[in-house]
Amino acid sequence: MTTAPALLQVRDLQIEFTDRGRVTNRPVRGVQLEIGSREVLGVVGETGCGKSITANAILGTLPEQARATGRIEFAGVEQLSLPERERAVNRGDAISIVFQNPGTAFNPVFRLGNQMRMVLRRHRGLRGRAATAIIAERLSDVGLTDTQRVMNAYPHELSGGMLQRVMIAMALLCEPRLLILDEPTTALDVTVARQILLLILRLQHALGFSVLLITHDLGVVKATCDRVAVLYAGRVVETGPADAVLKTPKHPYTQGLVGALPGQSGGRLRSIEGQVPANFLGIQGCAFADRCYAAIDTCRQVDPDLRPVSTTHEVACIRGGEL
Amino acid sequence: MSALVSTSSLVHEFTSHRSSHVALDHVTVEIEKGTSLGVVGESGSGKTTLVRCILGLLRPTGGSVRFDGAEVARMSTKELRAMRRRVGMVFQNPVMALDPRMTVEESIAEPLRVHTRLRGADLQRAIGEALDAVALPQAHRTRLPHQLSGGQCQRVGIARALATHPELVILDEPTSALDVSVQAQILNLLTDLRVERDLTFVMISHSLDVVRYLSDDVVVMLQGRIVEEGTAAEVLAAPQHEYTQNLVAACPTVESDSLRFALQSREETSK
Repeated sequence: MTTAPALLQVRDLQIEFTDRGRVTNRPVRGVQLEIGSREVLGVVGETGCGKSITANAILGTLPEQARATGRIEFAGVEQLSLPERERAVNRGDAISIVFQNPGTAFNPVFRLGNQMRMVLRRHRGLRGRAATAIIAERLSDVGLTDTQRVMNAYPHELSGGMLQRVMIAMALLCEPRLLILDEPTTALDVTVARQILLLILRLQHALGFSVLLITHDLGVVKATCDRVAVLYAGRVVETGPADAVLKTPKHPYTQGLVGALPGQSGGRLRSIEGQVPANFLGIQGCAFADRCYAAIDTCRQVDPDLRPVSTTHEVACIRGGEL
Repeated sequence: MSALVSTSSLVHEFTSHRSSHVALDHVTVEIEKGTSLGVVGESGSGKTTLVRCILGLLRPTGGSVRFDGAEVARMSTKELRAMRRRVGMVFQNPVMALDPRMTVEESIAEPLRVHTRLRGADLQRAIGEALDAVALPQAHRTRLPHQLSGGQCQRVGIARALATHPELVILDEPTSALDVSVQAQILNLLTDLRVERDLTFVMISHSLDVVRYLSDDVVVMLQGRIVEEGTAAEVLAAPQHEYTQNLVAACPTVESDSLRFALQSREETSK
């Protein structure tokens, strides 16, 4: 899929939470991700599977008690070993993020224009008219034509859909190479959500950035992504082209997710029995084994790595090829 | 069959000293006993106001709401309480809907204490039955909401709503805060309970898939008005109103095409 060197490569990322020197949890247990240039990668999984914290590790915004090991290479430069000062240079510039809830992501007491100016001042040293011109251009890119009104508005004066457009404009101010979208449409009405997804794809096409899209909505993945990585309990259990993974899922967990959707046909929904483990420290073997319809004895001893089932489709299941 | 709830030309206008907003504009619905009605529409379309009027929590500006034949606006406090015993409500965010300092059994006991004379051992038995109905282990009685998962909290929410054996259950986005595999468990549970107890459902939802799954009939609301109604299967398969058509088209599913095709074809036609 990606012949050119990947823009972002995450290799064996592990994140541990510690409390006074003791490891209390390990929410990410060896995540592998790769995003090519101009590629849209979806990261899906359920609450607590490690999606957002992986994004935090890529941005360098992990909480203080978290410790990340492994490799995160962005544009050929290993990020985890960089000092915070150097990572802050990229954040909001070459790597940018759009958060889930536009209503709470902005500072409520500053006008939106001023919040956008802070980005340009910090990363480009721009002020005054030069900054205003760029902000106005980005706002009209996202379909907000009354730029003066938007810049003078406080967050509470705009609707959720408009605010999400402002956040996308703000994330694009410094022309990022990688845009992280953390559940960008979950808080929006469906018709507005569709407009936002179309907007993101149109801008991605025009400006040529890569996208890491975090979502729990498989419909959104199908609508927008080139490739998808499915996370379960802090590991990627399946990855490949979005079409192939959703149409012919190979991992029992992905199969369960697709089967649990209330689709066109009626009848009882298939649900996945059991729950995600509350803490990932004590996991032996495959984390999904206890909930899996196909588990065999070996599953409880060996935690499988991703293995190819086709040239582009990989699955972390010792029975992955046969299911 | 007779209507359990009916509204006729219901109007609700929110007014402040400066402005007014018509939240419900002549809404007429009939909800037969044992049926399941889905109410869809975007934020601000009047879904919640409709439900609040049905419960008698808001006094309509015009028109009427009847519950089992009786006019809700004319009910005395005592009659309202008697009516509300026959209605259960399940909220959107299960974690926030529960009192964080109440254990599971205290949460379920609360409506039983208010609406029934059950006390002591009888009360404990009723709590036990409510937990069984939603397949929560009795060991969870003494847990607090933060010790439960989102799906388990929603089970407590359902147990609480059904503890007094209501006839009508109002579901406000019952699964939108849940993961898909948990959503499937809750939808299966609601379907089972509806059949077992012959319940009437009114469900507010953004998710057309959930409405198609759980509802017999659907009303589509836009700016306080019902713009389309009919059986869920028909309306969602062949929507007539432009707004419903947009809504159906906007829902991304794993079966639908990539939006990139939509984007490309639009760009091609605009060239």
